[in-house]
Amino acid sequence: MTMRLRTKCDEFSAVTTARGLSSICLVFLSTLLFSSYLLAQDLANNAHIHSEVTQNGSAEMRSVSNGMFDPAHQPEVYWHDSDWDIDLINRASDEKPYEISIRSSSGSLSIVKLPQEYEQVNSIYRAPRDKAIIVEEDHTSSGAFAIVDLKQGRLIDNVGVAFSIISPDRRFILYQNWYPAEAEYYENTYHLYDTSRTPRQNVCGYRGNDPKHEYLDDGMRGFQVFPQKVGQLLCSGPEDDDDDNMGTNFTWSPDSSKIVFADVKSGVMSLILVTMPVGTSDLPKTSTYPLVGAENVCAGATDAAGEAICDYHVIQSLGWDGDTVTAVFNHRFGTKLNLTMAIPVSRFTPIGK
Amino acid sequence: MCEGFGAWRKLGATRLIQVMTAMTLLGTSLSHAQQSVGVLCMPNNDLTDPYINLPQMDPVAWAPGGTYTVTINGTFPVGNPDLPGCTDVYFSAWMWPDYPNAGAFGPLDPYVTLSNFVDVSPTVITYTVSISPAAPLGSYVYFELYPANSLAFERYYDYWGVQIENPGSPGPGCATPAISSVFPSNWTAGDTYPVVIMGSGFTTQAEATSSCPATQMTVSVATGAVTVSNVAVINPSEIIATIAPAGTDPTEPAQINLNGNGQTSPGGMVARLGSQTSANSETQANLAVAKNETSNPQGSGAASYTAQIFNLQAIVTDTSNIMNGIVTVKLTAPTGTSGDLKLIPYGINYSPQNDFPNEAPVSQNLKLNFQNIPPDIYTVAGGTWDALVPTTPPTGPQTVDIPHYTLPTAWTYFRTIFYTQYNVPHEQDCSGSNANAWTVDQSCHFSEITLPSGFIRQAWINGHGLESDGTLLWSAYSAGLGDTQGCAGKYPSGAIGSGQFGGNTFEIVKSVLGACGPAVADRTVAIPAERIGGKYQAIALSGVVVPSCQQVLVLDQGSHSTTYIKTVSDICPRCSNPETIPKGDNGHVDAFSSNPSCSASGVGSLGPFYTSYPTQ
Repeated sequence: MTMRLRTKCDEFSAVTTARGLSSICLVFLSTLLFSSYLLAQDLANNAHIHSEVTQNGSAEMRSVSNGMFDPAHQPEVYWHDSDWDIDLINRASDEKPYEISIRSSSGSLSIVKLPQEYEQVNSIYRAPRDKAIIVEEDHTSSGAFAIVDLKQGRLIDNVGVAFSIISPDRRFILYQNWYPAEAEYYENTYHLYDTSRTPRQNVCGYRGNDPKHEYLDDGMRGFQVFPQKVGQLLCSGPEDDDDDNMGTNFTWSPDSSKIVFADVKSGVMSLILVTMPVGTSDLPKTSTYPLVGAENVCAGATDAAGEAICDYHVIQSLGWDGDTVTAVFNHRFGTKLNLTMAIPVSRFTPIGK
Repeated sequence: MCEGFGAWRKLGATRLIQVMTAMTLLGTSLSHAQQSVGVLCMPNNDLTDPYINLPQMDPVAWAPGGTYTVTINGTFPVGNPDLPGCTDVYFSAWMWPDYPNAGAFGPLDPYVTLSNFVDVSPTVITYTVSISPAAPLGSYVYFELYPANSLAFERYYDYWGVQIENPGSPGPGCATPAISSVFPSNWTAGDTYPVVIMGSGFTTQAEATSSCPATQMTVSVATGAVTVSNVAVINPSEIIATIAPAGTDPTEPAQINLNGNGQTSPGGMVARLGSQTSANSETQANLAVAKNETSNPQGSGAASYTAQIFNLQAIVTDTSNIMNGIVTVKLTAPTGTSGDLKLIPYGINYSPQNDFPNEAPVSQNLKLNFQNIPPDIYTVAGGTWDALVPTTPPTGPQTVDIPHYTLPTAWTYFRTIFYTQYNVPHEQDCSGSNANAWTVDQSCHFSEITLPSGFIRQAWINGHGLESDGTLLWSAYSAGLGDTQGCAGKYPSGAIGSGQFGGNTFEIVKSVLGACGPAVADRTVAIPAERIGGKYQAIALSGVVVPSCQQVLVLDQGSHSTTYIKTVSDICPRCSNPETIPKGDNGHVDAFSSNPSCSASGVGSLGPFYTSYPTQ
């Protein structure tokens, strides 16, 4: 940690004016010392949260590893690649917002303040076109992501989510819409945010009292890919009376061109396939593959008490083998099904067909 | 002399009843030959100890067609002060092999006639025995002498085994059995063992003759019972058998007895079987055989070996704290015993093994490895204990089954549930400058108000907020009055009723109500739920079972003690998606906190807890 501090200040000193040097170095010093303090404190407090370093291509990133919400023990989070070092600056108190420092390979530095609502920063990704994705959590299953323009050193978007899954190429963010934890009237919908588009191009509706479309409501962002009706461009309205949408096992294809996940309605599980747009003016396409008849993996599934149930416990994993989706299903109770399937993408039916 | 009486039938009654019957038959003439006789007055003496100067009978090698004057030397103790004077004695010959069940008589031997009972002196008795020419060689007589007085009988009787043979040509001596090893020789009560006896001088069935029958095997114990079966003499040096000590046997020695019945002297064999001082039983008779053979090894081809029975027990005695992963087990074994114990709770689908090394024979609380136990409903506990008993020479561990124990209360176990917390932020705990907000009612009527921006923000995210004057706010979206919900199109300019950021519209409510009762700070929780068929329903926690309203949950952070007790009062739709369950946890529950903080950081999470239904 000390080595890192010295390096940062040394490098920074070469590209900053003497006037700002001391103050910014002080920022680093205080930040990193505080970070060190937090790590020590985490150990002392038996913190639940953990972080880990992973390689993402040639980049190194440190992120929260276990998906646990423990904002009092915010660990170190960063993205470092050959072009950008993006580091979370821990805050001195929870009344102050988090900030990130952005340092380019050319030595430029900017500090970006994150929204006040951000309670725990889980990860930082670099997206194409010199953007960054900041993934935040303010309660388990409630959070947000921010889009930062790295070159401008500016926060350009902030979208509330229940959770999000980022594509391997970090261009796309598939997320579940946000609603309050205690909401009694809601519907889970799944939206695709394309970081190659501008924030205003990632909109699926405006508030009724905003006829001029002056505001970006974070509840109406991205392109709604599920549920999806033929030709649907806007977000869904109020809930319907069907089963809620409860997507699970979101699995990106390695080339980021597709994502598949599972959903159960009326006791039938379906696999949902979303094909990503290629150009920035293209739209994603949603297809489905209902597991019915001999492939009805919900048949015979129960909980330990013997009650019929079909939920995420039935599906063990989804994966990709070229253009084929591999799926493993298992019943812990009931008929104790154990089934592996390989479903070519060509067998999925596009919405509306 | 008393008069003799006729042959008894096998009565299957107690000796006492038989003696009493015999007494009623006195008066029957002894003028003709009998297999049994009643005798008036044994040689009088003052002895009371039956084991002093034991009577010996000679000859006891009787040939078919022969008549012998037999002498009994020794003292039949009749000098008990309670019975002064002479004692009536009953004297009989019974067909072998009804012995050794001395408590149930077999038929009197039809080939044996007894007569001329004479008191020669206080230590000598003579009588005449005639053997029928038809008596088969190799047959045996169980020859018995005892007082015909019930009280005297209760103290003593004496008996011999006699073989009918041709004393003129006794044949070659039989091999004398000897035991060199028995494996295994440590037996657990209640188990069944194939046992191999190694040694020499064993007579196989194929090699057996009338004078040297196949080697016989018995096992005797002091207080328990051992079943011996499938005895097979494989060759002169090996016997196999199946040994089954009763489950009720205590820890005690067991005597393996081999009777080769070998003739050790030409003069005839004497197999003095024993003597008793109380009413008999089969076990006691076996014991008498063993003791006699052990104490009288010159007799005749007998051999013995001492094995050991261990009463090893492992039982589950209490599961009332299994909600904290504690099972009480009682282990019983000799001091110094130790062994690895496997405890298995049996669920609907899973039977995870929990290992406890080197467990000593005490009653103890075993702590299950929470993490290794899958979510399930467990109803039975069992397992095994590999007890290593300190023996000389050392032997391997003996596996003791832990009998299946049905839990009085089934253990419904969810494994690790992560408990986040939700709260109602208080206005006075929030900062920020004043900003505009709105209240909305069920008719979509709006009123503009002013509140601190921090309070608006946190009340919106949390769903509830408490103003300084006690007014409780509920976010319009949570109440179904959002700008994409019930009041769509009716929101005034500046009022926001959707999204995570910027929401500023609330309904005024009286209390925080859960789906099935009021939320009680620090006591109640909201469990995972989904909208199914248009209705919000709780779903199975960890896939195990759907908790009902007011269901109590026991939270254990892994210390094998209860950390929190929570009650279900609400549903948490957000908690149902596996994408939001922390890695390694099995479910997500939201606990209601009394913390008034204006940030999630100030409230935090309770963390992961091993969660169960109560079991007591």
